[in-house]
Amino acid sequence: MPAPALDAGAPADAGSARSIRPPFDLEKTSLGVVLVALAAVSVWSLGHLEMGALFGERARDNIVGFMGRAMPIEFPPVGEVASGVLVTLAIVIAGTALSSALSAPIAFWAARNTTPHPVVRNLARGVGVLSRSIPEIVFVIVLISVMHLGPLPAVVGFGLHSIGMISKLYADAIEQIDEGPVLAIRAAGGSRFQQNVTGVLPQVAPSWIATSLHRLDINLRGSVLLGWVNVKGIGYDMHHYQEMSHWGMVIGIAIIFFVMCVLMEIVSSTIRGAILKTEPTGRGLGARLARRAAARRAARAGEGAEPAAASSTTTATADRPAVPGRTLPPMRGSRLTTTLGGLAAVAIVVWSWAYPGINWADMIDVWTKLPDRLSNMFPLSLGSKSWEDVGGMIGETVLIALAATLIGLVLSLVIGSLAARNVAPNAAVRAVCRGLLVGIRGIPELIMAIIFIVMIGMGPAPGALALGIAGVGLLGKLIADSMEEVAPGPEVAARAAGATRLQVYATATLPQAAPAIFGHLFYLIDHNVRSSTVLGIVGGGGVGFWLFNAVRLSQYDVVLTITVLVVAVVLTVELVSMWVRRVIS
Amino acid sequence: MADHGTAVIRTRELVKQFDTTTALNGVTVDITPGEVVVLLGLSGSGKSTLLRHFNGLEAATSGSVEVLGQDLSTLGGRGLRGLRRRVSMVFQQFELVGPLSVLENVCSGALGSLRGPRLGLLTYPTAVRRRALDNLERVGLGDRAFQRADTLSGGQQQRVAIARALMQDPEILLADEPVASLDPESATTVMALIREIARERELTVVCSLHQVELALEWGDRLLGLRAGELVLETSTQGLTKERVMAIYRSVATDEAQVRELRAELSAQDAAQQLVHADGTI
Ligand SMILES: Nc1ncnc2c1ncn2[C@@H]1O[C@H](COP(=O)(O)OP(=O)(O)O)[C@@H](O)[C@H]1O
Ligand SMILES: [Mg+2]
Repeated sequence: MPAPALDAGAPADAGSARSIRPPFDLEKTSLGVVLVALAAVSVWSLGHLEMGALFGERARDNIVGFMGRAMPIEFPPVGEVASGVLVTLAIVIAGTALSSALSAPIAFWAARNTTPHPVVRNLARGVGVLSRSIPEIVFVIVLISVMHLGPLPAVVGFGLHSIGMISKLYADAIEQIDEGPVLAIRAAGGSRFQQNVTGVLPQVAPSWIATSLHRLDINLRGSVLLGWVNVKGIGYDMHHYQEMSHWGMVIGIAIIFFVMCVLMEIVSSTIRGAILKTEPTGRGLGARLARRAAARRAARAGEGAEPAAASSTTTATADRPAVPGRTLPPMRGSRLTTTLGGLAAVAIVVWSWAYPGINWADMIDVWTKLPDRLSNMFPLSLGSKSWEDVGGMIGETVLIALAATLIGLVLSLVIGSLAARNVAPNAAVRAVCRGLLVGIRGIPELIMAIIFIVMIGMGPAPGALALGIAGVGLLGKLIADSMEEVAPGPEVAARAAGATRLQVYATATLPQAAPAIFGHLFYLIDHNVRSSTVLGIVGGGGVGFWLFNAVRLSQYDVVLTITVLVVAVVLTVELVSMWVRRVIS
Repeated sequence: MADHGTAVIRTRELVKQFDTTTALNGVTVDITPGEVVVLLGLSGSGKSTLLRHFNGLEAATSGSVEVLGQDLSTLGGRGLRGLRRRVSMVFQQFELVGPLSVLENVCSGALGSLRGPRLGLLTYPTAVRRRALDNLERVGLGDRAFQRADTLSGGQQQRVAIARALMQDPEILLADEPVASLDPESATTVMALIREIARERELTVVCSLHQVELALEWGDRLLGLRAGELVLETSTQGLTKERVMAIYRSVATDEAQVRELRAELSAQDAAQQLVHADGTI
């Protein structure tokens, strides 16, 4: 693990008048110690997991044998594929839409500048953290036990888990807005609700849409897992054929799923790019807003620091010629695109709720069943396990997560850096690396885990490998983006001093991107802790295996206990991550 | 005109084309060792582009650039880095690596003469760190060595950037609007520092500015650019702001008046010619 800018060396040279060693800084030194310790534990667990087996003869034989059984690759009939794909898409879209809707108020409560009260703010943030740290599959499993098996528990499960990420990013967007318009509305006597809808929403809309689309990608990738808890969709078909060891078909469906994920990512990133650049959604409301806030804007203009979004809205309004008698701008240009896009989005969301055959009665019935289920969960219980067993399993989960993070970090630093425009030696290398990252993201962790299990048998090693490689898709992209976002000036300065490409990278690019990369790194650890739980479902080891046994045996008190433990670990990671980021920046 | 034999920087009919913009249009200059040359011109006139040709950050579309006796068009990767090591550059926005310490930023000026990537102050040889501290003290910031670079004020950051530039033991110092982002007081400090250091180390300095007063105060010689063309080339001796402004204004408006002014000016300062030999503006 690199520790840029953190050289907390020994105290000053006693002999010399002035020191060329940095003075002792307790916080930075502890940070260095923590990071080195983390790195050491990660390396140790990587060794402990005996990945060597992967390169052994048996693994080779196994994979060759597996290939033999998997050939020829088969595809299910078109009708079956189509219905699986559509159901999966509908569940994922409906879940993300539900989550976005629930996240909006939570975000307003959680954002510093819009929260009604600090207590509300902390509660809202707590809800987000909790939702984030409970794996979606745990939500789905518990919901299935109180609803009819079908799309609804899946939609709600994904919806509840996604609140964590969506509400956090929504709230971040709110905290970054220009406060001027909101103040203007408040000054004009607008209510808090009016301030939020008219002052805040138009400013955050592009970023919110981008966040939801991003989550849609993530949820699609996670949806395979639904098949393993018998929810219909493409994952169900895959699980079905896997149970029958019909490997040709499993691979075929995995390929279809891969294509689906890649297409979804292309569509969503195209839309995101278009929205974030042109910000069409800000216009309609912004126009009205701008008139109200005009006076304030004029005052602020002198101070200069206006975000581009706000000022572009102002200009657009000022330049538009007034048509007598018209109170709406003409329906063309960006307004037309926005309207059509909005209608299409609404249509797709409506379809996603209508298509998969949701059992609407469950929406009501669940409230009668839920108290019972919840009471089953208490008191917390370890089932037949001792605290020692539990400690061991949690430990194994954490080790898997750390080993996976180490694999992910090392590969991501290489591939992610080379995928960055300002680091890649040429466009071809960059394109290949970007393509590689998209490709890796298209393969669900679960499928990778299954492949590694085929090679080296069940246990923690295949889980760690699968998570590690899957993590590259995520972390590699984030690293590439962070590197492209660094200020180019210091790179030019290093180049002008005669530095080599590698020197420019180490001295100017990496240190500037480091704070962001540390943030992403802890996000990955956090993600890996949760996912390593989930991989228990296919025999990936750790606490997950125990979790799914408990589910099978309907020991809901144990399910809750495990959930609480996982949440505790995730929260610990989150606290460490907050501290690291504070010390670094 | 300067003595061609000893010029450290020499361009001939230098043209730089960016897509549709002609940033430099036939610039021919000679810069002699030890002089402080100020590039004057409005924003967009091509000052940065010209400076960036002097260390190979830009490559000429046509014409030639010779620096320290080497034709830049013949230099590739290693050769170019070797040349850049001898030519320091200071930027308008300082371009320090914000999260790194001040001293590490200064050390990074020595990268060109070190092998391999460096990250972390302790990865630099002790001798380099010592020299960095000396240079930092030369610019008056020895006590700030272990602070993060982005915690300094603009004027201080620019002085750190100068210390970084000195790590190269350069023969030429290029400064691209080094004081354009600074308040007047810091601007004076920085310009004075550049002048003093130039004298101490016998550096050749090429510095772009857009304020005539500063140019007259700190430069030995002025080169005026307008829309990519060299329209003024004169010693600063006895030159007034009004006169320079008048030339600039007339360049934009009245050809006849220019010629008149030019004649007047060259009469007063016969040693220096204002404009190209071919008489174009
Ligand atoms: N990398 C570039 N690509 C395209 N045009 C450029 C580039 N760099 C400079 N230009 C153009 O060249 C002209 C001169 O720019 P510059 O040298 O930066 O001027 P100055 O430094 O005097 O303000 C400007 O019209 C500018 O837009
Ligand atoms: Mg410039």
